[in-house]
Amino acid sequence: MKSLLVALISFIPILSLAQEKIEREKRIKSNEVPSKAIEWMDDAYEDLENQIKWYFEETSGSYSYEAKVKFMDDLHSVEFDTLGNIQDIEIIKEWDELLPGVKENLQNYFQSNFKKFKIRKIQIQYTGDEDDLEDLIDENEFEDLTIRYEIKFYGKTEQDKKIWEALFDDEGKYIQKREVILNTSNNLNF
Amino acid sequence: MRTFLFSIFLFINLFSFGQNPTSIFGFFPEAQLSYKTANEFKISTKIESQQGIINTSPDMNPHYNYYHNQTDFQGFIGKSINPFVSVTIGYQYRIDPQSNNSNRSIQQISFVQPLTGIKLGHRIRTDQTFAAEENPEFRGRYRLSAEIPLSGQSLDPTEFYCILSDEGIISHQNDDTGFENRFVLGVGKLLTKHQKVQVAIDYRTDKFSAQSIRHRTWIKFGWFASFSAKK
Repeated sequence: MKSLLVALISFIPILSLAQEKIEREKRIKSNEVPSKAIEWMDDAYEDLENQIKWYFEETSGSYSYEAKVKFMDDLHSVEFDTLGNIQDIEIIKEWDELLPGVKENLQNYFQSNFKKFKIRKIQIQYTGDEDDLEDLIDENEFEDLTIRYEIKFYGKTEQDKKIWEALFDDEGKYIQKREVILNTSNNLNF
Repeated sequence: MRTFLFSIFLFINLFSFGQNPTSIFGFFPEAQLSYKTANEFKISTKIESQQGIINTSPDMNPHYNYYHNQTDFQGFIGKSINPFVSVTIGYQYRIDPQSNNSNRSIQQISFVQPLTGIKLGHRIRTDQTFAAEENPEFRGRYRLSAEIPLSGQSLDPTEFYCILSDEGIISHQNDDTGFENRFVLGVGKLLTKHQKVQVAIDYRTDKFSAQSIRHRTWIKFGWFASFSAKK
């Protein structure tokens, strides 16, 4: 038995050497966040500073800060670079909240590319100048912003059944997609 | 170390409300490896072994020494219906120094629900156990598991998670029907997208009649790995 355990433990580091995209998200306190990002959040999301959760993210060697907050019943994620400059705002939405024209284009894409599909998450992504992004939150103005829809969905075709994350433009027209690989679930299945 | 084990043993006995409860404590290493083929079939093997150090069963002389309780060798073949659902059949051979070795056939359907901030797993399983000089035992099982990332809202490689599960098992043998509950609480680490290691407390209760309720507590060490064929 002892030999078996030693053999298994020795085996783990060998298998861990495989190259893989590393993404990490760590909860942090607001005093660890660049003051510029804190100030932007205070200006845009007035009186919600105590409800903001801050995270530090690493994606394959690049770093960013992310603020998550519930605003007007929607979940907002605001991303900043390491200097505190705002990068984008993502807002989780339900299918019924999308504009009719956007829904029609999305529906056309899904129906023409998949035999069966199920949408799991919709995020509207806003990018633009920091003042224009602030106006989006406190004035509900959309001027000079780039709007994208990031949609995670399950799609079945003749060949495969996969989970995808796709990007669509402001009219709901397809731009690109990537496959979402779930972490191993063997500990839940066996 | 001895004080730690004694404390756990006392803790176990807090739950012992029968007249002659049995308490068992030990270590439970497990290793599981699976390979997914290009056509969505999954072949898995698993080894798990119970290494006891405390046993107060009235059938045995109570003892506080190391003993080998049992070791299971399992093989499974399954098919992914989609990324969330898979159906699996399996076979287990058990080496049981306390009794007869046994053969077990296993059937299961499992569902994974990746939600924001938590991943749920549902497993419905039936199995049939055959051993010499014993009637077959038939069991029906349902397990609900939750995997909760400990940093951030999603579990990414190199991050830790909390694992929590509870399983109810109904068994039937020799015209007797029994119930067993298995509760697991632990922590794990996602080493890569395809590998996890876990340490957990597995607390099991069965034989619920007042005379013979049995508590078994195992400290589990698990390694889980899955690999896929390149498409």
